[in-house]
Amino acid sequence: MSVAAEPLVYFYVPGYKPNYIEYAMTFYPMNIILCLEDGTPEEKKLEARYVVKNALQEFSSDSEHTLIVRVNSVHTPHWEQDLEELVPERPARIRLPMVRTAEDLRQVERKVQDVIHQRSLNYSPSYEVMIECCEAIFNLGEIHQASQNIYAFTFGGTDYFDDCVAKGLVDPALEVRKAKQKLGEYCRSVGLQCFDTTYMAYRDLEGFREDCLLSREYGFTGRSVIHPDQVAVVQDIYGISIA
Amino acid sequence: MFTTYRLELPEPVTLNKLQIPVFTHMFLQNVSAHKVQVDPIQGKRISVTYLSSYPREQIEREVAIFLERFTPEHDEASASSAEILEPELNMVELDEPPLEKLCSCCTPGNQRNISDDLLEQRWLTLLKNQELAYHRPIITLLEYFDQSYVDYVGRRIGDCQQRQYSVLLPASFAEKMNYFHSAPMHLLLATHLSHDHETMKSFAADVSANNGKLPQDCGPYLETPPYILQSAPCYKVYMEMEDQVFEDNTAFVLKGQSFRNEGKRVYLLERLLNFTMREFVFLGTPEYVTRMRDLTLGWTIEWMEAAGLKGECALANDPFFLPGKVKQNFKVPKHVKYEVRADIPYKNDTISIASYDTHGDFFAKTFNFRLRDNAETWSGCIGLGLERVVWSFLQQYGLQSEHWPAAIPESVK
Repeated sequence: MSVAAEPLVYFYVPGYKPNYIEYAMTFYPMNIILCLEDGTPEEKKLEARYVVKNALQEFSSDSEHTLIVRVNSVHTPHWEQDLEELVPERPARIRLPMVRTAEDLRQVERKVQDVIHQRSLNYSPSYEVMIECCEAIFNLGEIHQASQNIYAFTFGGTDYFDDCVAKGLVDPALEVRKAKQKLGEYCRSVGLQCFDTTYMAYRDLEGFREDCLLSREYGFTGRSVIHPDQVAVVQDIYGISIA
Repeated sequence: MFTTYRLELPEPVTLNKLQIPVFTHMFLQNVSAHKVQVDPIQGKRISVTYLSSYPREQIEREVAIFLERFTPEHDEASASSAEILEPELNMVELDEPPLEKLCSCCTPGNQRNISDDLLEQRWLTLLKNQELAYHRPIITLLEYFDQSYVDYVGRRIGDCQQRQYSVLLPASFAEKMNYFHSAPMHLLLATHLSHDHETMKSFAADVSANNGKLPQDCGPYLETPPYILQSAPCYKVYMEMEDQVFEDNTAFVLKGQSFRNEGKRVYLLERLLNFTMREFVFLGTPEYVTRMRDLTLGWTIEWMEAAGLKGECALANDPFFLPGKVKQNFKVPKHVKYEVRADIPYKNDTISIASYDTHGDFFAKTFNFRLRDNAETWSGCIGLGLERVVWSFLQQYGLQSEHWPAAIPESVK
């Protein structure tokens, strides 16, 4: 009997690496994010689109794995091509990085609807909106109001930190914590799911555990991971283990 | 071309992180599959990939037989039947090496399989009968990694006795350590014609009649093999130490050829019939041998990190020296072998490039060598497979030397 993935763990896989995707598909029920954005180098964008498209076709009947595609941000030259190629494959959800304003989200939705109409697709996408800069935190309510199809908000810690540094803020790490707190509180107040950022030091499981505990307090309901060892920690802290 | 199917491991088998590489290694030795992947999170599910032209029922049968043998119930049953025939090993619980810390976190820049490039750019030439010719770039890399390993690890070990031996291991010596029980499928024998004049004449006549080819059945002309081709160079150290009493903990360093009959599994530098091994051998107290295990594994990982090689340390199976049936009691650690595995990025896999075996008192008792003031003498060794180091390095960085880590000297590029 197949079991659907719980909305707790989101496993990132670089879109241009078919063997990594294949490996992730051997995991127990899991949300797998096929990443076309930061996980794919600039010169591999085309190749990644092709690989991800094939993966979505190949594993379309796999009911145990939820395949989510993280496309490139609207502030890059790649996002429209990403959507044109991948919306027809009907990924379970689309993760949208670096949404700064409500208009960014509306722009994506318009493009997705265009593709759906052009191809006469029977598809109602939902979005995981990534909050990755100070502007987005400021515009959070407006971004939320911009679409009926938001499945969750997610936080992008590295980009948020970089944004704080670029803005010359004195303590970027503190700003990141404050932003996470604000995002968590907002999602809790409106009953929306909220997923925390990746933790890159994947061998530091103790540090990861502490970070997850704090994040849960803030209101996050799940987390993105980059290594299988991190999965059990997330399941343990954010929900009931599937074991 | 390939088909993949998933199945659950039978109860109560659950594989932990250390057991997964052991399981996959054994699985691929016993099942005609192209690849097997274990879910690393639960350790309960495996995905088997096989050539689509191979009959599915046959694969499923092979998998079922393997899993039946792999389950603890079976192990216990066979162990208890073996007990009737043979005394058990006296297992010793040792502290584990700090495996979690033993990883070399580098960032390889190549994701492609370099096999074709090696042949097209003539770094290797394929000869007949699975033989290879190494060209200058490969020779240079073999020499460089060997020397840098000796410099890095040997210097930290301190005083090491150097040795050089032939590749021939006397069959009588191998018999004494029950070598022929342990891995007969990997055995390569070295023999010669019988010295009897009539036999030689008869052999020559047979060859002439056969247009210069060897007779189909050579057996009647050959002596019982007086030698085997060694599967590891370190055996000769134990041979040399037979009946010796030595004063203090002692380390040896040697380089030699290893021979393994890998049959059809031979593949370029990844799996060879014979390869070059750099070894350090340690004889002394159990504490010394165990301490050298942890230190040399750690230094090997540090050396890899310095060279840019990505990999990690893991528990392994197939202790190379232990016979299936032992004739006496030995003190042997529960976990005999730890491997250092290097990443092969293009297939998201790893290969073993080095291993440390802690033999307990097996060789000391079998060959009667001991420390003068110590009742208990152990041995251990670490061996580095040089061809596999070069193979994994090139798989991680490719053939273009401008993409190699800065630590690789210009003279090697």
